[in-house]
Amino acid sequence: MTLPTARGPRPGVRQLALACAMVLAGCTGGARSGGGPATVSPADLTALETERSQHPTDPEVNLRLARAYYAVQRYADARGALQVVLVAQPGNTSARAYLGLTYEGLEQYDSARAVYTRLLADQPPPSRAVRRLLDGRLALLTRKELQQRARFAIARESLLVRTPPDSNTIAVMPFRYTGADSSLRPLERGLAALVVTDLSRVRRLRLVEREQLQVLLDELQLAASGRVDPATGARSGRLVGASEVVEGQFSEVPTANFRVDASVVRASDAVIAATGSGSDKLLALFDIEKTVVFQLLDKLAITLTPGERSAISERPTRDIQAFLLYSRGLEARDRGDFVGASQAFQAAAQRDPGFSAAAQDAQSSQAAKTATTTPAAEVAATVGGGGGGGGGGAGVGTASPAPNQGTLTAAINNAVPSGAAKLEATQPTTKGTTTTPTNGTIQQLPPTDPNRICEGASCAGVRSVLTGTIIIIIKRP
Amino acid sequence: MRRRVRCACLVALVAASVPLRLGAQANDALYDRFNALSGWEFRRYAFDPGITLKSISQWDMPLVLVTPVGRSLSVDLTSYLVSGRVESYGGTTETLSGLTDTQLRMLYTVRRDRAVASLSFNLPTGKHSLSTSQFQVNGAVGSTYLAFPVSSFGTSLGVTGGLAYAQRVGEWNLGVSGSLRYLGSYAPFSNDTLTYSPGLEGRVRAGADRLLGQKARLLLGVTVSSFSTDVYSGSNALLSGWYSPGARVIVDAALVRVVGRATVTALAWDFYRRAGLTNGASNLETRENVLNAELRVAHPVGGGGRLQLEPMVAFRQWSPADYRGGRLYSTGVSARYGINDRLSAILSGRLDTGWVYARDRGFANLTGSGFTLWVRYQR
Repeated sequence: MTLPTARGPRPGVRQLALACAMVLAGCTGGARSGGGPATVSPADLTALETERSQHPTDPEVNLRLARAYYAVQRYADARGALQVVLVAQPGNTSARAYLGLTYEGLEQYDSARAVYTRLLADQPPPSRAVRRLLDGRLALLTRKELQQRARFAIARESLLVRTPPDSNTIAVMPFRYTGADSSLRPLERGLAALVVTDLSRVRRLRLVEREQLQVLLDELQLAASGRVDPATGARSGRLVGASEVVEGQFSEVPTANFRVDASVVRASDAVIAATGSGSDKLLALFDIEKTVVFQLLDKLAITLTPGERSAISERPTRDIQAFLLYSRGLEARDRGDFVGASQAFQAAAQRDPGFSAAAQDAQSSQAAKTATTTPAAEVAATVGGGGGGGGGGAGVGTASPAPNQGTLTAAINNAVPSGAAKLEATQPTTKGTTTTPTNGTIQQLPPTDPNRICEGASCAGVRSVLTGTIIIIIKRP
Repeated sequence: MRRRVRCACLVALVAASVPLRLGAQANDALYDRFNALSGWEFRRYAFDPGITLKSISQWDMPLVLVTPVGRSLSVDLTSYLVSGRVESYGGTTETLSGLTDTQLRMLYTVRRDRAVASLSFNLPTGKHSLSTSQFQVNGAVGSTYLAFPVSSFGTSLGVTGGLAYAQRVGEWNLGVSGSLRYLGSYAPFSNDTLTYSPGLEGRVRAGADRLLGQKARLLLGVTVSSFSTDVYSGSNALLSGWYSPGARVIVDAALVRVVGRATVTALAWDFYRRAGLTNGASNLETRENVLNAELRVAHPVGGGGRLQLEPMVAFRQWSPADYRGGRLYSTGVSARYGINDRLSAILSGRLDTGWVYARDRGFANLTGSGFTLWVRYQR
């Protein structure tokens, strides 16, 4: 996803800006019917369920309840409530955003992706901020999907061993650095990414995404062990459905400064099918890598077309420092550090503005960073306030930097009693996020409007009848 | 004639409040939707033989209307049709029935979610001049120990001004409020010339609540009421005097925790009233303390979410200054049912058992029962 450029104000933009500003101002206070993003507290579930029991199809009530369910991780219940909302208000963007988040909670990532993708396709198009958030959610989704797929593959490993892999499908393991200069270690990911990119230029090959294999290795906890051998590679290949796996290592050597070795291992039997190596100065890293790739392809008896050969020969950047920064970004992103990844990718792109992969990954990492640091309620608030045909008034974009509204309701109802407190008991809030227990307490308190004339003569309550005091007669002293 | 005027006044207020909603917009009013609540409530306490009192009972039909008016104002109106009955083992039965006073309250949102100003009027639509026998019923339902839904039938025209403010401080939501109440003079007895002039009542409330983790909320509050002197003016010296009510302090606390699909609420409050001064002398009989504790578990029934059941158990201890007071154990259950999107019903029942101790008259065991059916309309 690329960010759209601003083309002047749209109706939803000011609304969104206001919502975002309020959100960023630290509003964690109670949401009103208009909706605040932050404080549908799990402790208010009773109130909300009561309210929903009274208004089972009310979209506003169901949305508040869904948010509360989401907060306590009752995702299935949240999904049910959101479906009620969306039946009544199909275009309610807040509800749709929460539905996506809820699907994430349910680990139904395909459904979540579908929700976010449709939100991005809304007309009029969502604002830049909304797009960034949704792009970020999608980036996070990708990672979650890979993790889910890896876990699934590991669980089914015995079955996968017997399943023939897709022919011409190649996975590239991270290269292993055997030297002593820790600043070069990020190249383990960088070199793998380069090889993936180059091999993907060959039409007859299908490449497993580098991230997919990396997540698998993380799940297997193999990456940290430093084990890169044919058996490990073959196992990993089978788990990701690859027929062949590229493994490699690199290090500084006294004679040539820098050396890269790689081999292609058949996943079926762990036999090495091809090898390649190259060495030169570090500054010639890309040349070394290209040399190794061409050697591997040659030994695999793959005849390249001139176009493929030309494409493989392209360098993503000529700046080795930019590539090192980019590799650091990959390393950070692999461990879920989107802040670090974003910074590294941006630094790489700044060093070499022509390094398009760095610029692109900087954007996606920035979006993922925003998505990871934005609470669910704020995601829904921003998306809901960003237009897109949002279901009329039930959006949660009008956040208020306020305390729980129930605090205020309880305060005024205790100071100036009224029968309206009965509403608090029957539906403990009229706004959705109030502090139910306080209001319930009000209902149980002794008379808030005491019978003072009786009190003065001690005739109130059972005492009056028990002691026989009935008539007020007070002597003037 | 006077009753007709009162009824007309009430009907006009009700009628006036409803269409005002038409002008309402998406607003800042504390109550931003029209609500109407009515139904039927019944409460009865029966005492074992041994004391004069046999039973106190009351039924009432509340009428509560709440509506937003414009952008920042909401108006609510409350009245009751009520009937109280006191029966003694001596064979006498006293009944008092009729409309209560009507509270008309206006809440103006000074700052959304932060500050609300209130102006409330007590409209004397209820009976306030009673015979001495009727007054027995009025007194019986005014108990703080055996709380009845309606504790007072009627007084006089009054006005209460109030202000509430809420602020978030760290993890805490803090709320403070205060009010000042004025009630006009009236003649409490229909067969006497006594005039009662209530003093001013000042009330201050401070509350705080916060989340505890992700699944629990803690709520705390304290309400203090203070009064200036009430004056009784009779036709002769024997019927005149003054009374300065003691300050009231109500402390309440609640902890709510979500457990699976259920929500468990543990709440407690303590009501303490200092002794008042009768003609300058401390009147110990007016000092009392009531401690109440409850445990409730609310659970939705079925998957549709339309029905919710909430069983409860409660304990109450009454400690007056001059004798041992009483104790009450209660259990009950409430059911809330959404009939449709606008109409809902709340049905609840409770049973109580306990005792009361009267000075020089020994113990009297008591049993209580209560039933509530409220129907609420919201749009």
